[in-house]
Amino acid sequence: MDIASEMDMQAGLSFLDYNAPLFIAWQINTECNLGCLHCCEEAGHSMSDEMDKDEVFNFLRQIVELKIPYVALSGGEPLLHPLFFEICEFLKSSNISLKVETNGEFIDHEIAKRIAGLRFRSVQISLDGANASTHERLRLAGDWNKAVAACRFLVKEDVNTEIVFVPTRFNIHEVGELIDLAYSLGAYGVYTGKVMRIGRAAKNWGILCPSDKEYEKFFAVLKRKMDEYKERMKVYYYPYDVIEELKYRLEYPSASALILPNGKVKLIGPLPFVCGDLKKQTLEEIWKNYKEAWQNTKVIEFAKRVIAEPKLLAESNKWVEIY
Amino acid sequence: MFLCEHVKIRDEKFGSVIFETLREKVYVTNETGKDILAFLKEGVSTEGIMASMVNKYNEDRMVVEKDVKDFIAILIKNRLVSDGHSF
Amino acid sequence: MKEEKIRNSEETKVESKLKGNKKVNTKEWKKPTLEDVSEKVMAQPYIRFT
Repeated sequence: MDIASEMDMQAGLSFLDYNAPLFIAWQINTECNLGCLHCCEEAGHSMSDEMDKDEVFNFLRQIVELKIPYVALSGGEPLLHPLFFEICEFLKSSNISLKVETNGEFIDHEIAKRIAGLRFRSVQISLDGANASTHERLRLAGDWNKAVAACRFLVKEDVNTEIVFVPTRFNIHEVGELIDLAYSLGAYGVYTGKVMRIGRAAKNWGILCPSDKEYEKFFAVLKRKMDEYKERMKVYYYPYDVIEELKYRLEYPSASALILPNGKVKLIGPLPFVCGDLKKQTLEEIWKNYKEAWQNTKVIEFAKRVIAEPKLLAESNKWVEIY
Repeated sequence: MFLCEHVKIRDEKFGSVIFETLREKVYVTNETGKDILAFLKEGVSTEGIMASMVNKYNEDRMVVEKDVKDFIAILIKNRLVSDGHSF
Repeated sequence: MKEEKIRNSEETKVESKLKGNKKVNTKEWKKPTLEDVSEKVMAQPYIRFT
């Protein structure tokens, strides 16, 4: 079904029906203390042109004016951003739901208390193994003990704590134990799915990608664990890969905006297209661009090529401006 | 009657969008639903909402009252609003 | 102002009775609906940050 025919259906089913995004996924930085083999963002060092304080606050004010209900902050490692708490305080004082996605290594008791005071929707910690050696084999320079300790600090302070697990050949066999660990830590939920062939994961695809047989076992364990923890902890898994997601989003683009640290706005992760620049345009203008971009032949044709040749996903961080 | 924690409402051209951000559930409602939600946001009781809707709309009282009650029951079932003791 | 509102409200009630519970000059009622559109407009949390 194309976008035009969808317009005739129930209002609100299409992203075109909305005055503004419903959700902002904001990578506030690219700086990270780790060098994960599967990092979609290829994070590590800071970008030279990241938004400065005025630009960050100008954007924050627009989020409030457009009544965006929900914002998720990621990075890089978001807690390394010098304005991290100022950004969080601004969003929370504006009654916006806030999720933070972090490796957890900078969350000690004091930081957990500060986060608890801000009443985030949740904090999501990456745990890529049920033990230190597995986690650290994938998350180079990572410290599993610190990530686990962060979960404990957050749970103790009554912060909704979610755990995300990315399966690779290194760790896929530990998903069951990881879920048990998450429950023992008092997590609100666990998210997982297939590793995505983007960024550094695309470059390391040959050593990372699990076999079909490994995935089969993985999803069987997940199904069992989902039943086991029903009513006690949310076990959520996304059974499709990023290509399936892209196919679906070509028909139903999400009502969201993916903001890069330099203010550029990406159409969707797996594609290289950038539909606006917050340093030069308002969020309202960019939302119009976003709506048009999903009907742009160049975008549609390239997306179809990616679907046919998934290795093109490796191009997703080589941005192409279409505004 | 009050909105549950993590529930955000935004007016749109077609009515309202209701976003339960913890479960990441997005719902839409029409103009009538939007009017009812405006009262729920203010903590107005079901009886108060029904009276206001009966006054505002050109429809039989019984029909309006039933529709409002049913709508609020659906909102409660979907954990979007609470009467303080439903869950 | 408040008195005027009360009077108008009373008038509406009277009108309702006279017209068999039907009022005039008011908006047309449509049954309130609630539809879950989550999958259509919101990407799944696991896949979102790609």
